[in-house]
Amino acid sequence: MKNSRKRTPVRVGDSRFLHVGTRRIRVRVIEDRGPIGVGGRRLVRVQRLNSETEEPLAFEVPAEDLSSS
Amino acid sequence: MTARRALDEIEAAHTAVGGTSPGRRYATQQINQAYAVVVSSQFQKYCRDLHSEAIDQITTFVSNPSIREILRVQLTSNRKLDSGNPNSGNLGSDFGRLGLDFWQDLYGRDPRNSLRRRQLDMLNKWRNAIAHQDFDPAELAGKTQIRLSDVRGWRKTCEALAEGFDLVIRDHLATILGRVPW
Repeated sequence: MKNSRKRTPVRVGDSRFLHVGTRRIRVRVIEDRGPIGVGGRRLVRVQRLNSETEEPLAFEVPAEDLSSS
Repeated sequence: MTARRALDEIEAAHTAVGGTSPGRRYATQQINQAYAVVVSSQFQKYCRDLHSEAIDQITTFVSNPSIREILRVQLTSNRKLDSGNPNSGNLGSDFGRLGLDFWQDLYGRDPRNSLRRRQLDMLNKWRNAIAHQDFDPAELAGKTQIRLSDVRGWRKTCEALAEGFDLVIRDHLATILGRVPW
């Protein structure tokens, strides 16, 4: 199946989308953890945006899981 | 720059400032303090990377992408190592999320890890004291200054713990995933 998600290089400060559960949430990349993932894949630390009523949530994902749309 | 090289450069700076002959060196106290902070921070980086690598291994096993991301969020959010020192409490808390009794497993692998744990906690107390410039001898085993030999001892402790952590986590992942991760 063709992956229709756009893939552009991820950098610290970028705003991206991530699918979590049934939702697509917007996150900001706050740290590049480097190639420490499985098979040397790049992990990044992201923070969930649009969380005015909650505490900001930061977690890690593979850079390849983020999309720009 | 690798961690080992960064630490070796501080050792070299210590010799350059203080020389190698016996006798008290006042300027070297600042270098000893900087050295202790770098040892602790490099160890924190190592532990954080190990934790991230382990979680990536675990989550890769979940085929459903929605569930995989839910799990990843839960395992990496509010991680103590992201903002706190690599003391034994924070390490036990973060690595305990992976489903093992972290420190007990380390003791089982090598009883010397019990002493190393206490040494690690003393290193982190010094790191906090240096960062806040608050040297309470009641917290620092009666001292307000550290020697090069203290920091070298902590460096050796961290190196031994790093090796032990790698083996314990690797074996734990091998057990739950059914394959050796690295």
